Amino acid sequence: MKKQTIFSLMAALVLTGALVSCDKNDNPDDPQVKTSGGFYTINNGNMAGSISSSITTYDYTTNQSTPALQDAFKAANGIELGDGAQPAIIYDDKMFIPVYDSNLIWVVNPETLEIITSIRPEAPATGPRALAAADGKIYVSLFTGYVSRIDAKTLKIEKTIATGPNTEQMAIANGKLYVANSDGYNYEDLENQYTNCSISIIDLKTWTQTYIRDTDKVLNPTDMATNGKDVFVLCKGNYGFPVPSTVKKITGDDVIEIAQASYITVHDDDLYVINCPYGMSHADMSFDIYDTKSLKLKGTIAKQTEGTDSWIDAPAGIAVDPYNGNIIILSYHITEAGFSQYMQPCYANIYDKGGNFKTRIECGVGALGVTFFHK
Amino acid sequence: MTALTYKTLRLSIIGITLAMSCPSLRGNTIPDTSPEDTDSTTYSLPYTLDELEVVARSIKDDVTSSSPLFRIDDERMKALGVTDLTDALHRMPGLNIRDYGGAGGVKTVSVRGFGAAHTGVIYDGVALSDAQTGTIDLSRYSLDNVDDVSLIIGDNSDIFMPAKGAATAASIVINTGSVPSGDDARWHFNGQFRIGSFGLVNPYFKLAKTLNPKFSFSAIGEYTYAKNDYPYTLHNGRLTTRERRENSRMHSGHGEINLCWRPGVASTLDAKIYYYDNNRQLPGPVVLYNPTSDDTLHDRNFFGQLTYYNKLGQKVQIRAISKFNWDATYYHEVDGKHAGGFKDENYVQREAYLSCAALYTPTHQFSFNYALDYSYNNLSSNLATTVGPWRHSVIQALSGKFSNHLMQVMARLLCSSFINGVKSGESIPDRTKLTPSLSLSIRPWYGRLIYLRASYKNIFRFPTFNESYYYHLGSLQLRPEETHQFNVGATWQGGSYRALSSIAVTGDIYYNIVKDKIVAIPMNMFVWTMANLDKVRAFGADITLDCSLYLAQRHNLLINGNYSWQRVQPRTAKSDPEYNKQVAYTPQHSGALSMTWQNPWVDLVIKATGVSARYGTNANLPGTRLPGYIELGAALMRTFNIKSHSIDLRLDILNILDTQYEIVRRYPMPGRSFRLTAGFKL
Repeated sequence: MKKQTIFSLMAALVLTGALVSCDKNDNPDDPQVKTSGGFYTINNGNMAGSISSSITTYDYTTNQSTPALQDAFKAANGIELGDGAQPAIIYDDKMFIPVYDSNLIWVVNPETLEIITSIRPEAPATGPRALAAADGKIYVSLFTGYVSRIDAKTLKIEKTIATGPNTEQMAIANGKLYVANSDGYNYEDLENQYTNCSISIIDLKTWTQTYIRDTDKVLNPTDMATNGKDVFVLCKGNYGFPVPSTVKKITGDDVIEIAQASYITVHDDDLYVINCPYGMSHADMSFDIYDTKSLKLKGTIAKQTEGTDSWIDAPAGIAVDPYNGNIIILSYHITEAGFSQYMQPCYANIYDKGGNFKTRIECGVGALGVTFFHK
Repeated sequence: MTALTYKTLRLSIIGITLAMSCPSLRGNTIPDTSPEDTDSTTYSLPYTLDELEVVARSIKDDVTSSSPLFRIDDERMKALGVTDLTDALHRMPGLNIRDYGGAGGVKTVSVRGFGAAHTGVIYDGVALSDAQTGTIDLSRYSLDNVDDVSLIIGDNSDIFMPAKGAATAASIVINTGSVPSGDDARWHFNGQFRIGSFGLVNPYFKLAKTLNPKFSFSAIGEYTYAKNDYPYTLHNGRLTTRERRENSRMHSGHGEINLCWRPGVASTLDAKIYYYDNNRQLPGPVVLYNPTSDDTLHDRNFFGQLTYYNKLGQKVQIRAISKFNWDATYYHEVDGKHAGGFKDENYVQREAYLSCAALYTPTHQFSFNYALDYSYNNLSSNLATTVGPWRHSVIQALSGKFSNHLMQVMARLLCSSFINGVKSGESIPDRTKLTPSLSLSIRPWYGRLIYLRASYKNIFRFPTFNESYYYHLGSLQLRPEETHQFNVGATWQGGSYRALSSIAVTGDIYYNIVKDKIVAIPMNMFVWTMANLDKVRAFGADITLDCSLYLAQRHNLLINGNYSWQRVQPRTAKSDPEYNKQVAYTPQHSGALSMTWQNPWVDLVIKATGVSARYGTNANLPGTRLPGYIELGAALMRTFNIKSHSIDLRLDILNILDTQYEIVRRYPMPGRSFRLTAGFKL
């Protein structure tokens, strides 16, 4: 039986992983003693091209990255990551990687990427999409419309709550978990596209849920960003047909629109916004920084010069290093006709805190998330 | 061979074919049976002696054709141990068969680097169409009632055919369901039962009779059940595990009735009613760590077809065809991401088709044909995003042919007009296109069966309904995808020499261009659209060999093989990473070889199919490489004759070496398997 085979394999992996990692568990989450070591890019791969997910590593101290077309996860473990990997987090000295199509969450050593164990969501709550963590718990959103709570010590799913259809990214702030329920698969009914979407706000103490459900304000939310105080949501709308993709700030049970946006991230009091909808020329794309409090435009993310590596062709994601403020922008390569190459490796451009270009590394196919690690 | 014997043979071929079945059905698509080739006096010939048949079969228009033409008929298929339609197509060069594995796996065919939508499938004289996807799934058609299968690359040198038959870059021609001739009063019954590995059960029957000299019929029924839960080896880095395909069962059946009415000496009216039903589970691609799939697909297809043929005097022949086709697809996806946990996508396509063709043969050497085809296609669906597209197509073909004992020249001009509309919203623009083709075949030495050929064909494929209208993906601005084909080749057919009873060798080299290739381009990760973006260039060579060796009394060795080399290169822009690489899923080298030892005891066939490495992406990303493979098969066959009845027993061993390979990434093919077939002929 296939399932049994796979589970016995996993059991073997768990054992191996446990032996390797038994001495790792020191004081979690103390930013004072950390310096940033580098980052991983999580590369989704491409299901249409049957290209598996992969991880690219970049080490600040050596300036070395995983060689092009190679996979740091496979190099560490000898097996594939799976299909449909999503942005990963590091918490309690473990790295958690949700893998959507393979329906599992890898738990790996954040320094070596060696497998510690894996967590398998059970039906009906399947298809891990995003992770968030606080106070000894990992929260995973499942695309079938649920959020599950995993204990960071036992690595077992403890509780599951139904949130809304096609759950995407999440954010934790002020003791609450904000969940984007995109309803993204409800696109057939053109009159009522994404109308079951919402933002769930789950009180982590009481495990109770309230909603923001006004589809005039929140339509097709897919991404969340927070600095621990302010929460921002990216609403894709219907990709500009006619509702554009925008970033909004969540204020209690309401939202305030800030700008049109394709990718967002937050670092301290800065909200980083890239706007690059389909068909937009580079000249019209925006790479802006907004103040998280006043919501005023206060700067440009990265200094780009055409014809050099500092230029971003087709943005695929943005992240800011919490330890040193480095800005990482993921991008697809483009064809001569200007189309993104989804079946080709992506690249990551690294800029310093001031937006000055430092270097470019090649990533795997479908890079969509950045996870920073410390040393 | 002298001119006289050659001519006699050619006449007898026609005579035999006429005697075998209704000429109108077969003449549509088989060059050598086309009445235009018939000399004015050949109607005295329909009842040619049977013993000529063996000789006659060895000389066909395969040889004289001015474009590459490869044919295999039922007897040859039996002799070569062909197991199914895919296997038959493997005996033809330049084909690239996409196969998702197992009895229920979808199978599409592309030729010489053109996409599968450029391959027409002509089934009993009528080009099948799928206006929604543009491709025909050949797994629908079983081999059991097939009389012959041909591959025509470029232009068919039979000019007396419907215009639509010339409207693709290449065609696979399948002729089935023949009825007994007017003077054959016997009952014909053919029953067959097949069982095989992975739960295969496949009964089949055909019943046929000529009720009076003017009226014949045949009825065919077939059912296939397969569990398809075949094991496969999964390589995941350092881990190698043995897995099994799940959710792969299928129930499939097909039934048809063929009627033939001969109101006059030179006229026939054929009717065909056909129904096909396939209810299958879809195992989906192999996704690591998550083998779950509960999706199902139900295909239903009904068509009715009428063909009228008449020879009006010595110089004019006409043929009219009408067809109504109804094709439904019900796709059921089980996934919690959909409201209610599943999604149903139902599509129904309808086609009404009319074709009239007239052949004028003023002299023995010249013939002209005008054909007018009209079809109406529409698509409806349960999806709210469906716009309800429809299309009127008018295709006209004007062809001229000159042939004498030295050469054959053929020219054709095709005029295709499309009128497009939708129930709601905006439709793609109407279009008219003129496309020419020209081909030439020379026989430089009259005493020898050596033919040299050269051909050019310009054709296009019209954007499909999906490409034009599919929600978000479709684009209303698409232009047709245009192709240019150039081919030069030669055929040599040798007579018997010592132990060599017969030999035929063909060789072709080609150069193809695809312009305005329709590709999906991403607007973002989730929203894609179609555009006329790419250019593709293909060049390659095909070689085939077919020979029979006489070993001893009642011992023969038949050898049949082909080899293709093809380079199919994206040529859109030099800076693109795919520029000059090999188009996805196209091997550079492919070929097949089979050997049959015919003997008084048990005929033995050993066969091999092989392709070189391919890539899953146009940019040939190393991680998407599919290694090359060779699949070896064998068949043991014995026929017992009891009075006028015969019993056929046959054992097939497929993939003897249990080679694990994939044709499409993530869709493993079955390993070693067995099939046992018992047939009875009354």
